[in-house]
Amino acid sequence: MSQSLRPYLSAVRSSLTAALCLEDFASQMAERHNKPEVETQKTLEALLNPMVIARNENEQILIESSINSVRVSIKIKQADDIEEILVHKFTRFLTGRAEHFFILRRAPIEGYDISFLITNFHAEKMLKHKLVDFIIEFMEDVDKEISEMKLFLNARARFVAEAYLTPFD
Amino acid sequence: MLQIPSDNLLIKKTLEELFESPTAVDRIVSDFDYTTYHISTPEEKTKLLISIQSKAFKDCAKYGALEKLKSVYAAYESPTIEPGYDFSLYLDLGSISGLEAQNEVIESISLLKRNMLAAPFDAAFEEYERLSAKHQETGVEPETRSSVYEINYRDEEAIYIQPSFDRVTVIFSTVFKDETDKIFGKVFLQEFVDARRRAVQNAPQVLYSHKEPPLEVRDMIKYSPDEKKGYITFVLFPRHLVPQKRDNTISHIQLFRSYFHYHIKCSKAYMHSRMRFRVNQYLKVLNRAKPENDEAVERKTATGRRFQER
Amino acid sequence: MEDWRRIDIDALDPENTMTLEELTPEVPPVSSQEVSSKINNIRTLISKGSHGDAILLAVDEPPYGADEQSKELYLNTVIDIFSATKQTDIASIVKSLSLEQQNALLKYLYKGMASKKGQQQGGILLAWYEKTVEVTGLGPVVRYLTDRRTV
Repeated sequence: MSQSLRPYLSAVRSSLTAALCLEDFASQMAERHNKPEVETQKTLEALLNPMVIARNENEQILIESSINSVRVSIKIKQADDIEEILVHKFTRFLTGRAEHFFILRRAPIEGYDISFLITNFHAEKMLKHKLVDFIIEFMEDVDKEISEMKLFLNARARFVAEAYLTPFD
Repeated sequence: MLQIPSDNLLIKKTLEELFESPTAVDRIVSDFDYTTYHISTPEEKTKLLISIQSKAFKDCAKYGALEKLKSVYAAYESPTIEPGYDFSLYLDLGSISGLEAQNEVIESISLLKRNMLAAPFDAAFEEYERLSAKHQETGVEPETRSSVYEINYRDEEAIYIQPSFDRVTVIFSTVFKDETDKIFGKVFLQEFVDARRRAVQNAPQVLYSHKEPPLEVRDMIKYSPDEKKGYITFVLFPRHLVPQKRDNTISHIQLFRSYFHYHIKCSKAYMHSRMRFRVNQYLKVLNRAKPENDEAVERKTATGRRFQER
Repeated sequence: MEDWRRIDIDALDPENTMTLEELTPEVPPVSSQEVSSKINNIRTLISKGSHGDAILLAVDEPPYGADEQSKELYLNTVIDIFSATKQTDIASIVKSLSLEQQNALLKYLYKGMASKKGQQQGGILLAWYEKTVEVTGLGPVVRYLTDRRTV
């Protein structure tokens, strides 16, 4: 693991652990409703200060917390347009399967590549520290996956190009 | 499958079957670049009519495709061309006996599209030879640029061939349908350019440009900066144009576009399966967050009686 | 008159929601002169090389009541101390701070990471963050989340 990745992930871990302190909270705006306050942004007293953890300008995570929900948005490193397209494809692939992921938000919030929304209902059904583990593992893997895919694409292109040009000989 | 063969497998199989047991057929077979074949038995089971229709035919005909096809398929030429098609062959299955002869026929017919598309290349290579001979004689480099052979073989894509006294330049224009194709294409083309420097020194030189057409064909194309278009230039050197290599070169370079796009698609498919795998992996991690189901343990009262569900 | 059915009557009822002003606790106002004189003091300490004292001064009674522009300047100064301090000194500096000062330190770390200047030095801030949380535990993180007095 590279030098600055470890403190980055550990900072995310402690921030998430602190933020994931959720309880049931009935909406104060609409009777008999229960909405993630972080999404409605209407009840100011239920919202907490947002946290940004940044490794650099291109890699950061935004944790917005509220009384009954936490929204986690991740900006994934994109060094060139190949990585950009791979990240785009990958996040689209994931959000297309948001149904299975429970905590995945179907659309990322502005400026970020992928968002998670964890509500008190998720926290009741799932173990909190494992949820944190999941986010951490996701962040760790996604960079690796993107760079592996990029390497693979280059290797494949090289092989294909050589295979095409060799018969001319 | 790494290489795309120049023959049409479907035609091959169909003909093999028909030689074995002639039946009445009426089949449409397709090939790359909007080429379609029609195999039918209009009169009787053993009399085959094979027609080809292609977008490129009109341009190929300008450079002697019809004559070439007539010479290659002299024995089976159909007196009339099937309406809606560009060229027809008439084949009497009964008249060809012997496995070897049959295979030869099958082989040659399955290369129908290749031969059609080869005509402009042949013409260009011959012009190159003329220019080259002239250059040897006089020792002067011809000043005027020779004409460019243009083949519009797809809706928005074309092949341009320009013979010169010491080389033949083949330019492909290609369209990338979506953003991913464009970027993947860039990666591939960069490797095509690099491959020559690295591994296969004897290969044709490859150049590519995005949006802007190369100088050779700039005046032929209504120039409009188009994000989606790319141009790939192959420079064939005399080494590739010697008579014993010529046919191989033609067959191979014809299929460049198909090969190129085919491998882009393959990479995309691989990425997709890889992402699918990765997503499953993530799901496993997430499911670990769910506590184990401990409902299974049967609960009893202090006296050992079971709870009963009602 | 526009369609009266579409008027959001809840928004017109002052009893219904709490406004940002009501939620923000009262803090004594700090003038921009006071902030800039404090910044100068900190800068002198940085140039003298006593980074521990600079941090101590910076996080002791941070200017909660100042206007946004002064806060921005103040934050930049704090980031400068962060990057000037040796990594090995961080833990001992954090240990010397009082609880209230540690809370303020963490607020600056979070705000720093949200700012452009801080992101360019992400590694340094993350190192600070890691060492701080090692010493203090999650307490200041939770207090950062809930404290409406922003730096």
